[in-house]
Amino acid sequence: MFGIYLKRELSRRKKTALVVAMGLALGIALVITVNSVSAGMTQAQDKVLKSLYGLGTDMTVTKARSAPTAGSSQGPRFQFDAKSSSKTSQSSDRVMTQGGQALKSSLVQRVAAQQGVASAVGALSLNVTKVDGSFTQGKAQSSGSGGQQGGPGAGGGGQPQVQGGGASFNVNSYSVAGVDVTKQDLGPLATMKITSGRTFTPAQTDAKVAVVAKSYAKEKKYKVGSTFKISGTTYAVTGIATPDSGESTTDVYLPLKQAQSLGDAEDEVTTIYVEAADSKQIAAVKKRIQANVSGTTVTTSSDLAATVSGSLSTASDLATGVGTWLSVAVLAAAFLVAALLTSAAVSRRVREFGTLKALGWPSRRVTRQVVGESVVNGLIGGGLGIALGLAAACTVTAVSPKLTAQLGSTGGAMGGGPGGGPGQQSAKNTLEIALSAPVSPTTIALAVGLRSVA
Amino acid sequence: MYRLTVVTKRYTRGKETVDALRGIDLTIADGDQLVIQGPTGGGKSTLLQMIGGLDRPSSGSVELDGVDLATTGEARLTRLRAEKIGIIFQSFNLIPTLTAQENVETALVPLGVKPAERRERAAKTLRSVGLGERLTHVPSEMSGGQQLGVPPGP
Ligand SMILES: Nc1ncnc2c1ncn2[C@@H]1O[C@H](COP(=O)(O)OP(=O)(O)O)[C@@H](O)[C@H]1O
Ligand SMILES: [Mg+2]
Repeated sequence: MFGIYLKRELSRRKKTALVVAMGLALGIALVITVNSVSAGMTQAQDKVLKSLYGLGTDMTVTKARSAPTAGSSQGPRFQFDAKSSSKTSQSSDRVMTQGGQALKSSLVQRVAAQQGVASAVGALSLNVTKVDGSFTQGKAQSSGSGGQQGGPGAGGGGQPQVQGGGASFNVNSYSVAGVDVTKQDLGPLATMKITSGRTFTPAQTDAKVAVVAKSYAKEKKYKVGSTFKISGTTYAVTGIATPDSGESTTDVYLPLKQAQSLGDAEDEVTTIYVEAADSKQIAAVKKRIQANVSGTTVTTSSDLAATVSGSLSTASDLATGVGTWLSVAVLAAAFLVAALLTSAAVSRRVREFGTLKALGWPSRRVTRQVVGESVVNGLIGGGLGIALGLAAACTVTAVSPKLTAQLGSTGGAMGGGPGGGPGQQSAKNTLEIALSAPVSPTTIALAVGLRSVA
Repeated sequence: MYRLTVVTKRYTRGKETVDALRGIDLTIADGDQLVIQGPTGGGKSTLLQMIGGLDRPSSGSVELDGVDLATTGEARLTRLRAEKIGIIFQSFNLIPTLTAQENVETALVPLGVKPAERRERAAKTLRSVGLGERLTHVPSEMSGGQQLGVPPGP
């Protein structure tokens, strides 16, 4: 009788059953979707952070920010060799340390010596701005001071300077990181995977070799074995690398010494990558470094996470804020509708239950009947909800909406310093990340559990 | 057989009290047929509820074959209703979603009758009151008179 009665009730009251089941389904589906999307957001943010930090990097040490001095705010200057009759194209590279603020290399050892620091490695970030110019008619003026700023070739010094005239310029800039080839598991290269060729050998501390990010290599059509020039020095590409996740923030990797001489930054680094001995002690280690190594700014990954902005951060805020509230609201509404319909059904059926009791049905048999109905209804709604939620999560993953993330856009430690000049225009700290919505069993359990508690 | 002794029933609604039954003494022997007549609001339904074991009197006793329905436990009362008492309500009180046959079966469920026998007995009963053609009809598909024929069960 239980089964027949149940079947009859559900099939003869399809509309009510459907409304209850749909409300339930919607609630569960929303909880699953919101949950998995925000899990995706968290993953995306993790990816952003990991692509900026090496794996295993717990914090970075950079020079404490200071007020820009008058001299540092001047723009880059390029000098060209302009023979009066020339129609040839020329190029010039302007190499600057990123942010224009460097630390002494000796600080790497001092940071490494701090208690709680497992490992520390220095890296030098450079921005290279390349200007190709083609002059039709250079108006030249004799000047003796040319070539000072690393003009076109060391041998071209003392040439006349261009003062105007018909010239077409092509400016492009890219980023270079000087890495400690003896400690590649920490630092800029740690998150990169070599996809072709090989990485630096520990012996290549001052070799004229380069590892190039795949995206940049593609743009420039570089392959393993290709050569290119930076400020007149020729480098051979030994390897092509892709980031483990996200997009590469650096285009060209060079041995640290090479980068230092290009950037005119002998014995200087811009960033010290630190790995803590104990991940729970990161805050304490940060304090210790800041106290013991003066003039530095220590940025931990949680500091960095706070500076994430852009659509990823907006979407993430949305998912955790609006999304959570939305799913709670829908769940509450679904609960209310279900409760109202159930109580309406019960009061409509008191007479029916009275009849059954008069016929000698024990109360528990009547109760079992009613509970049975809502359980079956719940199972249908729950199943539908899980299916709907999974479908939504799969759709998000399949569509993979692109989100961008900007790091330190408000002038965080990773950003370019004041007067950094063209170094900043490359927007290297903007990443594009595809959103996915991973569904975990706990997510489903949470959704269904929430619903059955309601 | 039934033996009712000084049965009273007082309904209280807020401050208002209604004495629906005032000291009823009544004996109904097995096989007797009894008609109770009276004005509306006279307490007929209240008396039937006492006799049917659907409600308890305020005082007095309602004995059915020696068991006092006024004081016996709920479980025993439920079993007595299933085994010894049949009720036709003023309004038909059928389960609207069940067929005629299934409605009759509901009366046999608490007696522990096996499904196959239950179906058989319900069908036989309905045929005996001329509702053999209506076994699979739901109440809304039957006339008032036909609906009246369904509830008493076996
Ligand atoms: N559940 C109740 N609560 C309060 N008063 C009731 C209740 N049921 C019946 N009554 C009152 O008891 C009296 C008898 O009612 P009832 O037994 O239904 O009369 P009859 O069936 O003879 O018309 C009426 O005055 C009625 O208003
Ligand atoms: Mg009445």
